[in-house]
Amino acid sequence: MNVIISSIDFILNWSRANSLWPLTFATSCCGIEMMQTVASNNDIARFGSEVFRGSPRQADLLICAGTITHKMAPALLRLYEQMPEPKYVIAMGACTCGGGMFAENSYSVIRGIDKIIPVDVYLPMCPPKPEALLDAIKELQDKIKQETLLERKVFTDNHISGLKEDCGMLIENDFSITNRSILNNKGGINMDLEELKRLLGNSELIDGKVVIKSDLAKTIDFIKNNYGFNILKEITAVDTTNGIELSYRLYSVEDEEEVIISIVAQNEAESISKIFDSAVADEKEIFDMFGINFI
Amino acid sequence: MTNIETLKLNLGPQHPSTHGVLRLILELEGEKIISCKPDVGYLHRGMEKIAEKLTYIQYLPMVDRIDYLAGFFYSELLCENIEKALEIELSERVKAIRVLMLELNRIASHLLWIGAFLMDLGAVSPFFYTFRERELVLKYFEKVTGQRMMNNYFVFGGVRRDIFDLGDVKDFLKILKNKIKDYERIIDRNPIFKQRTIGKGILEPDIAFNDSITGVNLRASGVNLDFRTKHCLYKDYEFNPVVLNGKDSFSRYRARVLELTLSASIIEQTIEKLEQNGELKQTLIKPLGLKLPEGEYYSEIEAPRGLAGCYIKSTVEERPYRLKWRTGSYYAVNLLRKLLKGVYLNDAIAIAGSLDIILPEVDK
Amino acid sequence: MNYLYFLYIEFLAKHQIPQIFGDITFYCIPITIIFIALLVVVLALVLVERKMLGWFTQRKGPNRVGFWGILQTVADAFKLLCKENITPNAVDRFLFNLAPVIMFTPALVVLGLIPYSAEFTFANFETNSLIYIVFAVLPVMSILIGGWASNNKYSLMGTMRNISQVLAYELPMAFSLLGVITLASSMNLGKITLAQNSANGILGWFWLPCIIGFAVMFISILAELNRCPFDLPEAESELICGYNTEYSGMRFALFYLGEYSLLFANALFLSVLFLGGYLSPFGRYLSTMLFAGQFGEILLYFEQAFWLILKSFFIIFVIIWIRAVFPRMASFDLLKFSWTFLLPVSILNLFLMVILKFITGGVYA
Repeated sequence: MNVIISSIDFILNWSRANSLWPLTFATSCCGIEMMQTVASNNDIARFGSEVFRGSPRQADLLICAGTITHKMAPALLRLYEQMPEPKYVIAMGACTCGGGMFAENSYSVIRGIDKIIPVDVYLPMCPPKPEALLDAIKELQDKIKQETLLERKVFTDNHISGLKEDCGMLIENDFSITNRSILNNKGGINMDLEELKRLLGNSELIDGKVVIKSDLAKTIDFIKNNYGFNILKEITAVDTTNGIELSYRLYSVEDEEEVIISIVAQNEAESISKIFDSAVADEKEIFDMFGINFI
Repeated sequence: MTNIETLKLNLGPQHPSTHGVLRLILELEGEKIISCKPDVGYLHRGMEKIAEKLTYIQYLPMVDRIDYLAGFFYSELLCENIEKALEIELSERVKAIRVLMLELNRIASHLLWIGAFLMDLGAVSPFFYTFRERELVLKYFEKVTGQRMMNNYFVFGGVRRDIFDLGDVKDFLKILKNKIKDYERIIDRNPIFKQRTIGKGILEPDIAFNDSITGVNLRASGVNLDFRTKHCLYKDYEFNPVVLNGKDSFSRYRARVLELTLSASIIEQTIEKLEQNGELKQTLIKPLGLKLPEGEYYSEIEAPRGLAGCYIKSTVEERPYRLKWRTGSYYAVNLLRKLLKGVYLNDAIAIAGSLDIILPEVDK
Repeated sequence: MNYLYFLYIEFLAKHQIPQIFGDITFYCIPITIIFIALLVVVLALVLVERKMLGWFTQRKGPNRVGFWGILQTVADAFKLLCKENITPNAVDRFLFNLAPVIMFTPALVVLGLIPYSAEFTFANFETNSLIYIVFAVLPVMSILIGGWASNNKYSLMGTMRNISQVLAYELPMAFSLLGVITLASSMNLGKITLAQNSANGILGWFWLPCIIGFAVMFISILAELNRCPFDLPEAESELICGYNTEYSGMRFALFYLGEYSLLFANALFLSVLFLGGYLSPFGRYLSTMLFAGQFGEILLYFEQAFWLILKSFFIIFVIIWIRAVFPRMASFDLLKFSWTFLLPVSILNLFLMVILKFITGGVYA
């Protein structure tokens, strides 16, 4: 009887170890080294692992390559749960092993993916070299070759149930996004030079920045239309003692000139998304980081 | 009247062709995209907030992770800001070394993009070919800096160590020039590739300006705007920015291939300079207790994915009061709303791929 | 075939086993042979494809499992069979389980229609080629069922793409088949093969007069098989895995098996129609030249099968080569290409064949 069981174990483990199909899952830096491992110089195909499956249903191995943040964590958990048994996880890179560089100071990085899913092989370094990933895969193969069916069953039974209790909050997070429309298209505003004088009347020039008090949208629209500042490089928000200082960095392609317009906002600021479409992105970011409501 | 229901499709955050963790919420009618909403932040690591907690030298290694494909550019930005603040002049050799590394990095980044773009289109082999050449660059980086990707090689006032083995770079450039011909043979003449890229994803200069698109994507729309021409490091180099008039995915691809040659020619000039003046002279700034004078500092450089900028506000402390990054991909993601409207799904993948979006740059 | 049947019945009669038993069991034998051969061929095909894709991109390909990596796909198959079979909650259970089975069955049936050598066709009907065309297109039903039952948006879109694609490419395929039928004056695959028999060997086969039809048929078969550059239904970078996104373990393996056995079957079909089937490319068979007498005659059957399989592997090689080089087509262009270019060309080809037949009269008959 033992002979039969051990021979079944042998064949199963042999096939499992030699055909680890990874999931196409790369979040950041380590993903590039994972791609490099697939490429010609290192050739993961030698170990039969070049079959990268896009669907978790057909994958055996989750190479978690790159930082997992709080927003990504539910997706990672779901991917892991979608994978069929037996499934294995390699935590690639320092971020996934324990937070890595971001363990100390970041507010959004999960300190080690083993808080979310069970990990079979840890592969630190930032990022690991392709050779290291190949080594991790061989390590995992050795591990698979030694385990028995019963061990695997105990492992999955124990781990999954505890996991769901720990991460209950994460599972309920249903990928929903906040629908906050800051776009209300009304078209540009026409003004003349006197208008500009009035607009910039009580403005000051501090450190090369035009600091204005009000009428932000009108000013920027005017400058864009009349002086050809057609690229909004970025909007920078700085928390000062007076309030949040917003700096709009405008650039003119023709004249190769830059102008910075800045305004201090308390809780609300005028949206310039109808003037520059790219402002939507910046304004959303500032809303998230500083709580300024753009209207 | 028939009532047409639309299909909502979540592309990502785990999807083979989003190059990381971008999530696109698409509304489809058949395979036609009616609206596209990008959802970012799946890789938000709080890079800007971390800066406020760390001293400048502690923050320096983090910077490479903002864009893992072009880490040198972001180190350069931070170093440049600090050198500006402390008014340090770099020696010619340091400048040449920095240009050499930056351009090698640009080549590596563009090579990766070509492979990944063709992968999005469904062609397997070019991915392997370009990665084969990229590996040569990484090998050289490893030799000089000790790391393949997150090099942390530039320091305030100079570089960590002098450069050596320039013969490797020369060999690589020779190989690269031959291989570029190969790429042109296998990719540019491919009828299906042409069919899928020519005339797809037209980006008019007006829209590009309005959406703050810079870099190769803008130059492929016929606008001559290369921030390298004004940058202090590139003052002594002769080069003409690549400007193409196609405005479509194909010209974005061509522009990147031509940029490989352009970068190669810049590197040849740097090698000449490096071979002329032998010794490395640099005045490194003591990182411990480094304080910047009060004020705001801004530096910018032409990164592979568009204009990259670094804003520092200092209040005479060891840590920056506020640090902000301007990255190219962030605006490219925002552009997807417009470019993907009304196209078919598989064209959408090609168009999104052609903009060279990389997610850590977006989420920071 | 009949010869073998009588031998078998005689053998049974000697041991006093009733003939009815022989009638039933006789048909189990070829099915078993096909099934085992098919498994071996599919495993080999997958391995060869992975190896060759490796060589095309300066890699080694699988080389750790067994000598030269030869057991790689065996390990894959074992693993897939023993993996957990997930049936997601939201699927239509009956249809979800039915689809992979339907995928595999037609592939088995069409393999029985191919004349492997002069005496070796499992189901030799007068209208073999038509039956082939009908059955070869059946897997689309399974994709439709599976894609619909999966209740997954990516699967659904993959299914939609697949159906429109198969509809578009079925007609050019049928028209170029008609060209061959006209030349051969028969719908039987065995007779089509024999019609290409001449002393000229490779020059007497139908690929030469019917070169347009050959090209059209080849392209259509690529499209029907969802091979690159027509691999839209399971476009990796767009639809994750297309119609089989939700399938795992054994069911996924059946889809895989079905796909590759159809690839093999279609390559055989193509070589029967245009590359002279089991005929030797030299016009004469080696085994009868080398070995006189009965041994040579028995060896002849194997030689014929060898030529056929060699030709089909050549076609498969070209298909893999194309996969290594070409990007994927856009879905709209793909349909346009078929309806506006391939279909008219294939009809034109049919006319040409009729004229050729009329002029040359006796040569191709």
